[in-house]
Amino acid sequence: MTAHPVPPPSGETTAPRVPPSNGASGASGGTTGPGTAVPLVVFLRRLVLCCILPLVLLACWLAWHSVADDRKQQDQEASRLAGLFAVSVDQFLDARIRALKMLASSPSLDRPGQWSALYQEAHGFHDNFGSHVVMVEAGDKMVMRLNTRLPFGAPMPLVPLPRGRSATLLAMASGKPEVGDLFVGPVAGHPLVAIAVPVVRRGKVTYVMLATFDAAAFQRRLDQVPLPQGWSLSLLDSSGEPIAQRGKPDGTGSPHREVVHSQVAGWQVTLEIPGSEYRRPVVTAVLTLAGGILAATLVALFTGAIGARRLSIAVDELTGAAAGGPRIREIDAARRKLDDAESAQRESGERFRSLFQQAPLPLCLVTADGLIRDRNALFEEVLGYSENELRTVDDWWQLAYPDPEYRERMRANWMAALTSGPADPGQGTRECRITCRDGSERVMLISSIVLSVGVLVSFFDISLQRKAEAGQRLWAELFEQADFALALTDLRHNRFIAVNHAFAAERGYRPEELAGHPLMTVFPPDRREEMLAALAVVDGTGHGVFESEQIAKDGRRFPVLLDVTVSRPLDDSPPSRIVYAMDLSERKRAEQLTRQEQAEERDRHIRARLAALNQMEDAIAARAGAERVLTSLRESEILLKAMGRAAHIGGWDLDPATRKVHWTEEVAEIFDLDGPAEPVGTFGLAFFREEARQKGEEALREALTAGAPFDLEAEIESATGATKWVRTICEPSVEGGKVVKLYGSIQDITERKEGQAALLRSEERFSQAFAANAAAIAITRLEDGLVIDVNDTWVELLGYRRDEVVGRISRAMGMWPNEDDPRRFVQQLKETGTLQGWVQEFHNKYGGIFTVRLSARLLYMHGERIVLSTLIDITDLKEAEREIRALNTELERRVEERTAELVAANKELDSFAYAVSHDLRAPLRAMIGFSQALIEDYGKDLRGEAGDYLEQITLASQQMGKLIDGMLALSRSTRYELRRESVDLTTLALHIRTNLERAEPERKVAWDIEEGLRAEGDDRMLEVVLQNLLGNAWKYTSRTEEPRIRFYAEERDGRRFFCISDNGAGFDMAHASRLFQPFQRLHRQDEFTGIGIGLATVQRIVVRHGGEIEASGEPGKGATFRFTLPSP
Amino acid sequence: MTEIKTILLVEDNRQDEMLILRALKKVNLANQVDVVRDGQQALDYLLREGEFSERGGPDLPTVVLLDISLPRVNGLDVLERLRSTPRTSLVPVVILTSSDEEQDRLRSYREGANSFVRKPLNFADFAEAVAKLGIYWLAINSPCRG
Repeated sequence: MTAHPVPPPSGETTAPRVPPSNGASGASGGTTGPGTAVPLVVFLRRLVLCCILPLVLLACWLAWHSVADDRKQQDQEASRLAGLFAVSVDQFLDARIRALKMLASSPSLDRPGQWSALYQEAHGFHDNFGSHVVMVEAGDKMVMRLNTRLPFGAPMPLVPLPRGRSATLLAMASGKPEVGDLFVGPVAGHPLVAIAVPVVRRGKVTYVMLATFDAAAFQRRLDQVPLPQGWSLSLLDSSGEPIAQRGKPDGTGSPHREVVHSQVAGWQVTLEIPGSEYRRPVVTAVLTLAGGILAATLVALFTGAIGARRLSIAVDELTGAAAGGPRIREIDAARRKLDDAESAQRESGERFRSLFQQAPLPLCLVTADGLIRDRNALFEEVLGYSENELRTVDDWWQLAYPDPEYRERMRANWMAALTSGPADPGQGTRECRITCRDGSERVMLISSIVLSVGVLVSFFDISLQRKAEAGQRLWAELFEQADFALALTDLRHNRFIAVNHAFAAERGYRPEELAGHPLMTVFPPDRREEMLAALAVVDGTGHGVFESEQIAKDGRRFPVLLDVTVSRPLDDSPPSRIVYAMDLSERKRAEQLTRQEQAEERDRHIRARLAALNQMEDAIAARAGAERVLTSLRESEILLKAMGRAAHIGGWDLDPATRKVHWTEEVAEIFDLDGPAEPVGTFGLAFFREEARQKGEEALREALTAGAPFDLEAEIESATGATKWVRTICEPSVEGGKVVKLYGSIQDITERKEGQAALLRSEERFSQAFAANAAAIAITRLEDGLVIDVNDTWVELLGYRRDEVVGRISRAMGMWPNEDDPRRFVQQLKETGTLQGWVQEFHNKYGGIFTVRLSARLLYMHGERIVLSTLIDITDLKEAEREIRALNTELERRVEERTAELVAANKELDSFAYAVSHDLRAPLRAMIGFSQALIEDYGKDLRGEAGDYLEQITLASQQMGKLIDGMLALSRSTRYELRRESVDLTTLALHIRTNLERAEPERKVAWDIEEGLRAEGDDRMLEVVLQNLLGNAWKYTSRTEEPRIRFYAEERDGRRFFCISDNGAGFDMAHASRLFQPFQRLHRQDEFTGIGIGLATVQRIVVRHGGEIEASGEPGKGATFRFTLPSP
Repeated sequence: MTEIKTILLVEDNRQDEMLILRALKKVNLANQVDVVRDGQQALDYLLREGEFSERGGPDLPTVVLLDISLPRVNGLDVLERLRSTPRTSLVPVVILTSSDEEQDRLRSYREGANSFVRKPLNFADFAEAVAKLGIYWLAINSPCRG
């Protein structure tokens, strides 16, 4: 065993590769790098968190806002309460100060003699305010002079001084009323406060009036203040001593304090909210919020986690990692699909696996990366290599092919087979000499088919076959060249299988003349029955010797000694007889030889016979071996086909004896049949399209009768009506010249076929278009201008034969007259890839120059840049163009001349008409004018008929004026430039009607003018048309009873006619042709006046508009004029 | 002070002239009419040139009755000249003509004619038209004093 590369550690090949996780990489932290996926649960949890976070923030803000609001209200309430109380204290003090002031200003104060009266007044104060009054003499001693607590004249104590501010001292110092701090009255004996009002006389404080109040009075007031639970309110004097107090201020924590100073005294009102009370709303809010958020978050996280877990389980279930997740419709559907796919895959895989394992051949499966993934039991048994020794294809090359040169060749073959793509089963089979584990070299047939999972390789040992073939060759040689007669016959039909040369020659035949023919051919008819009986005995015993008579081809009969041995091969192959025939006519001759000679002769014969027999036996064994080999080869091929089925190729088989057909599921699938349906028409012939079906039936017949394999491609219409292409390959299994089974595969090749068909069609189209194109087409290579192909038109145009051009460089042939042209041509193609309508001159083969329109396109084919250029000969065209241009110039000149002439003529006509209009009218006007003047000025002097004559001159002149106007109108109708616009004919007609009626109001005519008649044209001219036609109708109905005039439109032959009809005088159709001629009238002047120019004008205008006019009428019945105009 | 009002009649046809003058006489306007017989004369008259350089009377007529087809200078050319000369650009001009051609009418108005009157064929109508014109321009219309 040679050393081979160390196989890679098994872990790497079997363990799934784990991508480095986020946690492991560490540095990347929470970011999800490309390629690392977040677990679904984590993703969903993050999603839930992201959803909750904004809600929490919002809740916090709202809570904070509400707490701030509460606190502000509380603060306001506190300051209001404190303020109110301070004001009430101030009012209380103020009232007393005023009263004391009154007392202080009492006149009796100045005279100590009247102090008893003052005492009385002071008592009045006490009665009113409930507080006693003390009068103190100003001075250092502060002697009490009066005290309402004591009777008048009683001895007085000294004025006590409070710890803090003394009202008395302050009042003495400032000369203004003052309120003092709390003190304990020396007389009263309980806490008091004092108000001191100085008595000022002549700018000096002489006495101080002092009123004292029980502090309890303030306590009572304080008690009346409505105070929320837990709050405390105190009235403090300037030294901070409480005068009145309610609720004990809480020393703990940091209370919220509201202080209001008295305006009258140096006191202050203090409202305290204990810290615990003040913070309660905040605490409550914070606690509630925290609890709420916590609860909501927990619930959300909990449900989110549950949901995420359930979803992730459900999704995991898809991949088979878990089971029992919740049922989610989409996931269910996905799972069903996955399950279906999986089970289909599993089924197919199982089928493949069982085939693989049970195959009577060594098999292995090689993956694309060269790993030998699977091998069956026989593989190891036959080749001897264990799984550990042989892991990869590389191992295989090393072990199985020790000879480096041979190895490389085999490896190259293998690579070629791999790259050639999925081969048909049986293809890619080659014979190899393989060295087995035990060192023996074997000849193997190695077949490989490429499947989606890898390459399936089968090994078939043909060493035996080779040996057998060698034996057979040897036997054949011996058999052929033996100098004694040998024949091989079968038992059942008594036919020669083969005879050797000697046998045939002795009987006057060639060997091939006897092979396959009945044994009895060489026996004369009268000996045949006896012979058959003898053979039957030999068939039973296995050996027999007997004498008989045979007949040669030429009819010569001769005696023979027949030695017949029956050979029964060990396997099931049919038995045969080996017949050794000895010509006894020779023996008869030998009877005359010596005894010794006879003995020798016999020995020789016996030896020969023995040798022959031995050889025959060997040969038969070899033959049987060969047949066995062939059978298994057939099986192997069948097996390979089965493998193909596993690789999604449908399989079918047919037993000719029972006519029973079997299909694999894939076949049903290919024909779009639901589930494992009953086979229809062997291999789905019923679905084949007409022509293909006939071919298929024929092939099937051939296969059944002659064992001919077939390979068909056919278009089918599947059970659902879909059009597909299938390929079916059939391999008849033939045994003993009889077809015992048909094995077939069927494959859906629609995709490939359609691609092919499209390619074929486009190629076909192209080649047709190329060959039969009227334009000259050349295909050249861009790089060097090598001509790849040209079409017939090109050949014709340039005069070269195709073989003179194809394969040559176009530039070198002198086609281009100018060297720069091909360069420009290539340049342009390289830049834009296309080129259109270049006018280019070329030389043809004979040097003639012709002009073409050259178009070209750059194409890529097989990696080369190819130019497809089209040449259209425009030499003739150019000639013609030149002629046409010349003709055109001439024509234009003539047209110009004619136009100038016409313009001149028109001008002349214009000035003529102008002159007519001006100059003919002037004399008429004079004639009329002077006639009238004559009548006016000298009428009374005219006698007789002079007046009438003058009247006639006027009439005639007026008639002539009308004629002139008519002629002018007529000429105008052709001279004026035509304007085209949409004209409302109905409105025009109504307008004309009004004018006519106004001119002759006594006439009553029934008008019928259709609404909404419009036409395209010149409004001035169309007015003239209607004026004339309606005017005529008006005029010619003047003698009709119940005259009627209609203007309407009618459709005839798809055209729209405007009609003006009346029931007036009409006209005779015989004269209709004169109607439209100028100055032609069909009525006498005394019937209807007129100048006969109106209809001529009308006709000209209508014709100028591109319309037609016609008239119909009948004398006395009326007339109708119909005309067409372009519709708007 | 009463201003002297005159009519300038430009007419080459004697008969028309007579008929016009007759009609004007009937409304007592004839003695205020000056007649010239071609376009050149009309221009000379109005611009005080040539034979009219010494003419008396008011500087400009109250109205000019102008025929179109005139010898020497066509009536429309006269009109164009008048309108392009500042001094005469505002003088009222009535085109009085036999023509009924659209193009004449158009050009007249375009050049600044104040009226366009077609000479009717019928004498009575003609006389009435002229009389009305004279009365209108001399008695009714109040001119612009440049």
